[in-house]
Amino acid sequence: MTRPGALHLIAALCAVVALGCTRTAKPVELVAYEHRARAQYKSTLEVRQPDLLKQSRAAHQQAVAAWRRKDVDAVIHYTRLADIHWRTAEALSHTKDLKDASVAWRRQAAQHAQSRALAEERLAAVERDIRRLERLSTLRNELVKVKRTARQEKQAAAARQRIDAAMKQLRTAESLDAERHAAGALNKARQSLQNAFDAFNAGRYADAGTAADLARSDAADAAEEARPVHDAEAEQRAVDAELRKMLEEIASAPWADARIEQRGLVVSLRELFAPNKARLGRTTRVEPVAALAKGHPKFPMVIEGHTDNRGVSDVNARLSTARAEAIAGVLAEMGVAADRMQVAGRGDAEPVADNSHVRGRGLNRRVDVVFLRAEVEPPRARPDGGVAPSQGASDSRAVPPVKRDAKAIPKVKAGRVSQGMAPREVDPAAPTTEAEPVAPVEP
Amino acid sequence: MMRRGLRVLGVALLAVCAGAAMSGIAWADQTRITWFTTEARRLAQVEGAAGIPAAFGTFRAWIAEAQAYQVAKDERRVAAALARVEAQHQLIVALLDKVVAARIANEAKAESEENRAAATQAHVKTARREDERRRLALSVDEDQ
Repeated sequence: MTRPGALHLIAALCAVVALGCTRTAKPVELVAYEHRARAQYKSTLEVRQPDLLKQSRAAHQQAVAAWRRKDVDAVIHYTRLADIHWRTAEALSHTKDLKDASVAWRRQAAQHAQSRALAEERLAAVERDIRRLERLSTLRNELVKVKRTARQEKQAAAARQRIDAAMKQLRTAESLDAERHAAGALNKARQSLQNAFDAFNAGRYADAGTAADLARSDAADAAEEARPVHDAEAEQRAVDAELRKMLEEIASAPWADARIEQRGLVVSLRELFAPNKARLGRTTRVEPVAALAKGHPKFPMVIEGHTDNRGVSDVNARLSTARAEAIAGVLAEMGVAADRMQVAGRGDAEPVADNSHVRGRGLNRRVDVVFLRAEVEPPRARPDGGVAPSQGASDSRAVPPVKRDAKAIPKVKAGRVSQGMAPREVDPAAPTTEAEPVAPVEP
Repeated sequence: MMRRGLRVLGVALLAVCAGAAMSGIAWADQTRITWFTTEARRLAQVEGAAGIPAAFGTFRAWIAEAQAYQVAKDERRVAAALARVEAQHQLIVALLDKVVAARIANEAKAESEENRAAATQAHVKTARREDERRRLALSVDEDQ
């Protein structure tokens, strides 16, 4: 390269550099606008706000032109205009976005509201179903309660019926005086009945029925246990009442002393016989006894003869038997059935008065007509170990019942009593003792 | 003489017309400045104005600048300033619309969210009551 050429080149470079240094830098506003204009949102703005974008670009071009001609005021003015137009386009576009979003939100809100309305409508239907089902359930519960109540009432009625039966049986046992005769079974029945009441009051009707059945069974046992003794006692009371009536009837007889003993009504006929005699002087004194015997035919009779203590006992025994036979014969003649009479001679063994003087001996020469009460079976021993009252418990000194000993107390037979029991004369020459033997009547 | 008089008259008429035109332009610019001043006060009371104080500041500054140029009778700069004021007015209006649209959008969104929550709650409650109904139905069926 030649020297002038190099100088030309250097001069040209210097000119270029000098020219470049004379160009003014772009204002910050313009650079910022150009940076904003390159944003990706530009395409959207071109579609939505083409007029404003066009104005902005026109202002930008004028700004660039002003920058090129170094008109700073114009550059700033047009840059601001371009920026304002661009920001206005952006604001309008954003407004449109917001309005679109509002529409979308409104639509969604409407959809949610509709969904809520559907849910609430479905909820209302479900609530109706629930109320219906609850009513149904309530009705079912009430029905169950009613059924349970009816069942309980039925059980209660059955239990009450069984308790009534037990109470009836218990009253029956009490009426049979089971308190005395079957206290163990009766107490068991009462305890079972109390258990039945307790169970009934507690609402345990099945237990109440079972206890009532047990009480009824125990009461029946008590009644069965007490009935024989009760019946015997009732019969005994009837006999006693009749004996008292007979005592009242015979009380007016002048020659008779009547009393009730354990074995029965004893009518003592005194002053009928002379000493050592078995001959009956006046039969009229026997008539009240005969009337009494005929008026009360169910009582068996024992005619017992007695003497005073004078003479030999064996003779007195025979004499007393003869006297008894004499009375029996008279009674038979007066219409008393002979088969209900027995005769016995007691001799001088059972005096009723002092034999040391005449009057006492006269009283001892007597005949006792005994109207025997019916014999009652003694009560059985109770299972609980109690002791039932015995017939003779009230009077231990009572004379034991007359035994039907054929030898000691021969039974009077009708046919023979009329012949063999006829009054016979006693030998007046016999010693003045009561020892005259008298042949007993053969049975 | 007469031609000269006509020429002078014509020039005078032209001068009067030019003066009238100049006065008309100045009056129109002043009217616009006054209107924008009023508009600035009105827009300051509109909803959302408090959210764009910078835009309002620029708006008022340029109105004041235009008014200053108007007083200085610098018509070119008045026109330029009024052009920026008008553009700024459009921007403020657009921004206020945006604020209102944002509020409406937020309200719509809140309403939607509220409705969604209520719908969800209603569905959940409905499902729970349906379970209860199913349980009751099974209970009643079992009792039967």
